Amino acid sequence: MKKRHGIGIGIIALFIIFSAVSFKSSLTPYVTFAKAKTMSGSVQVRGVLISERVIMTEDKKAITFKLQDENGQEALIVYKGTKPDGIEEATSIVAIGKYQNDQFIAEKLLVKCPSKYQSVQGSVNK
Amino acid sequence: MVGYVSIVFALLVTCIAAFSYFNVHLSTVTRRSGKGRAANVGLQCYRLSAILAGIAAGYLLYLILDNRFDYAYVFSYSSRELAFMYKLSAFWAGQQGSFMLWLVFHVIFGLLLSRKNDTPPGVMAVYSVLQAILLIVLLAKGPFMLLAQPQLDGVGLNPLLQDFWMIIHPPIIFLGYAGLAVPFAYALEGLFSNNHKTWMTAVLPWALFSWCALGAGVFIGGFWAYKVLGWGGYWAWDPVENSSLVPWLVNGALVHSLFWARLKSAAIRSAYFASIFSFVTVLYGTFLTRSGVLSDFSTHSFADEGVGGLLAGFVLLTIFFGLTLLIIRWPDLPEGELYTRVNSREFTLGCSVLIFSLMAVMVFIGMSTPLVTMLLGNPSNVSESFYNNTSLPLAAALVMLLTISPMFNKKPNEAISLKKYWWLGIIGLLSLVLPLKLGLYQPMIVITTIFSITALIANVIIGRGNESAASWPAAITHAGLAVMVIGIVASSAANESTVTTLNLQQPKQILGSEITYIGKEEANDGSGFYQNFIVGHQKIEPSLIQAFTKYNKEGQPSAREPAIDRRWLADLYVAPVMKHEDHTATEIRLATGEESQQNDVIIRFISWKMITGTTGQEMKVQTVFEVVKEGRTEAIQPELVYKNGVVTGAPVVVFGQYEIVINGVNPRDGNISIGLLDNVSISKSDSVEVEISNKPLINLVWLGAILITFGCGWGAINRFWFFKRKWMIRKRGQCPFLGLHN
Repeated sequence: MKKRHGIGIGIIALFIIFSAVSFKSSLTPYVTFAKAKTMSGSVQVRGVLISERVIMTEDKKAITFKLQDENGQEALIVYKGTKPDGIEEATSIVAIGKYQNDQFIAEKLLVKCPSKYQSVQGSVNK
Repeated sequence: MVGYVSIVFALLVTCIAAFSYFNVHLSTVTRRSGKGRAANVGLQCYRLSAILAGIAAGYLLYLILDNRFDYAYVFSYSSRELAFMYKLSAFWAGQQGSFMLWLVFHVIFGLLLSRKNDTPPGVMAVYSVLQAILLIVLLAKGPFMLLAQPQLDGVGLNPLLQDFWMIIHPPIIFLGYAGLAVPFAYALEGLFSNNHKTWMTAVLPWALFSWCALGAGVFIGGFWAYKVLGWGGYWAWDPVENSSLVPWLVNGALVHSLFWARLKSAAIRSAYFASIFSFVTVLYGTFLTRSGVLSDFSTHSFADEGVGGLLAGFVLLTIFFGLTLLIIRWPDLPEGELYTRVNSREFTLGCSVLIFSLMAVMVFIGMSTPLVTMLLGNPSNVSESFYNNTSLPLAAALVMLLTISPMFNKKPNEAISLKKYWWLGIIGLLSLVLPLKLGLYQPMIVITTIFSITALIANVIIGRGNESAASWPAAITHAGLAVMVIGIVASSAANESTVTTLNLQQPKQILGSEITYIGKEEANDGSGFYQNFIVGHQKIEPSLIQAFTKYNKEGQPSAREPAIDRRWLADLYVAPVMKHEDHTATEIRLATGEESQQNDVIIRFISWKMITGTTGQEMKVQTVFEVVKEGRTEAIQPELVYKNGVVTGAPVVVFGQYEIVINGVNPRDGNISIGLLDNVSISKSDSVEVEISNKPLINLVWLGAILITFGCGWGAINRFWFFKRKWMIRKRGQCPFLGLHN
């Protein structure tokens, strides 16, 4: 009985260690571009689109655009994937990825669109 | 006015109901008698509160159907030309209305409970308090706010939500949310009255019902995402999805705890925990998704609508009350062993509770990371890999358990035939064919696949029957889970995807299919446009598939449904990327003197020079390009200006057709990056950019979902008193699956 419990607890402990490692490696902190340059792991940067256009690369495998973070610093974002809807109208864009060779290679983009469905102003309670 | 006042009064009488029910509860606990008048006061007050809540909900429905655009809520989610079904769904499209819907279900379940004679007054007291919470949230931010300036027409429903599945998805989810209030109320009553066994029988049908509803809601949400959103999958571990998944997982732990506790009373603690936390996680998920704390971490748009603090308070309150009571009663709870032997039903049940709980904890940690790290001052999020990495081993463990569990679903003291074990082993070996055929070699995925196939067969063949303690519904649910796991693993691990351009009428071989884009057509009713594709496979008739893009109120394309060629064994998923409407330019990199051919134009990079401004804060890059088309040459001089830390490049138009903009210059080697946009090809629209993916066995995900929902629903119906009383009892003799658990 005791031995069996030990095995069970051991398996769970292994799983928890595995999860902790997995958690640590998948943790992506929110930073600015300045900080992102110094970090090796995956990070997220929020900013606003400042390019005139979102450009598709020649081989059509990626899109690039410029993003300006909260400190006013900007960086070229390269996103290998299809262009997210409404990116041009986005109020802010969160790029998740790594800084490499003066470019921010995004694995994922979160596009925050102006929510016109909640643009109610001056409501009063009755 | 009517709505607001009825909510105020509903809150008032709900509080009175809670108070009088609590008084009756106290007197029954101390004297075991003296219900009488006080209980009647509670019942009458509760009924009155239900009527008032009904009036408020009915009034909101009336406002929506009557196009009362002077109300902010109606203005925001409805509009005049909206079809009746969508007007109905505008009721729960917004946050305030969805709380109203939750309240309606809560009240309906409360009425059912209060009608039942043996519902302890303590349960109704706790249940009324939970109802008061919903009413307070509705008071803080209700759907009855008037606009300062009445509008003639509303904004309308988000086109993405104008879909059949999105009409029924929220009500189903909220059925589950409301249903989980019952186990919570019963658990607290059980702890209060120190009567730890009887409550579980009453809770089981509700737990099964909520599990069925929450599961169905989660699956429908996934199906909608797959069919409508067009990002290629059904699950993205988004906070909104997770906030229903965690209660579903805890609910799973609850259902299995209840069965476990029947065999070993020491497992009652587990049932208490699961009852309390299934409702707490519902509230917590609501808080996370409604409070705006995740607004930077999710693709869904959330704004803080002023109820975040309130909901956080209620989450803490329910945890505090639940856990405090549990800790106080801990010494009084039945003690003993959790299982006798490893090869027993109680052991497998216990393991399933453990796995469900671990899964819930992992998803909970993941979805809480933004909030917790934000409070710690260093906001972070976890990527999808965390969820995928942790859920795969747990899913593997779950299907392994599922494989062996039918063996132990015997009535106590019955021998298990070894022959069946051997059969299962052979089936397991045979099922290796599937992952290998799909080209899956990753050990964890192979293990998960073969065990889910074996589990499926084990549950179908020996998981039920007269000699088994497990019922038909349980066998169906378990088989459904196995089917679903096969589908999830196969469709995601063997998913192939590619992005390509399809020219009009030009067939292209992609992922084993021949795909032809045959053009765009406007929908007859002007609601959007279709893009048509013909897909041909070997040995199969070619089929026509359509991607549909809906227009929003301004006539702009907004919601994009992918074209899906649905086949039995695999889906071909074609999601248009729509570069045309989006005016996506092509990026070209050139060195000085170099030229590039783009369709029918040649762009030649002649020279560039940098001009530094007087302050040094300002810089300008002047360039010269030659553009050649059909023998004609034009020179253009686009510029790139750097000023106050901002780089801007204005597009230059050439031949009245092409726009050229400078993206950047590398001063060291003089390489330049420009963007080229062809405005004529945009209007011609003779090609389409698509993301095409092949998803093998994805239909098993939906089949599994249907089986799980059906199994849970059947299990719940079997156990609800109001079904039993009417027609189940008479039929019991004929149905082998009924009453086996009782």
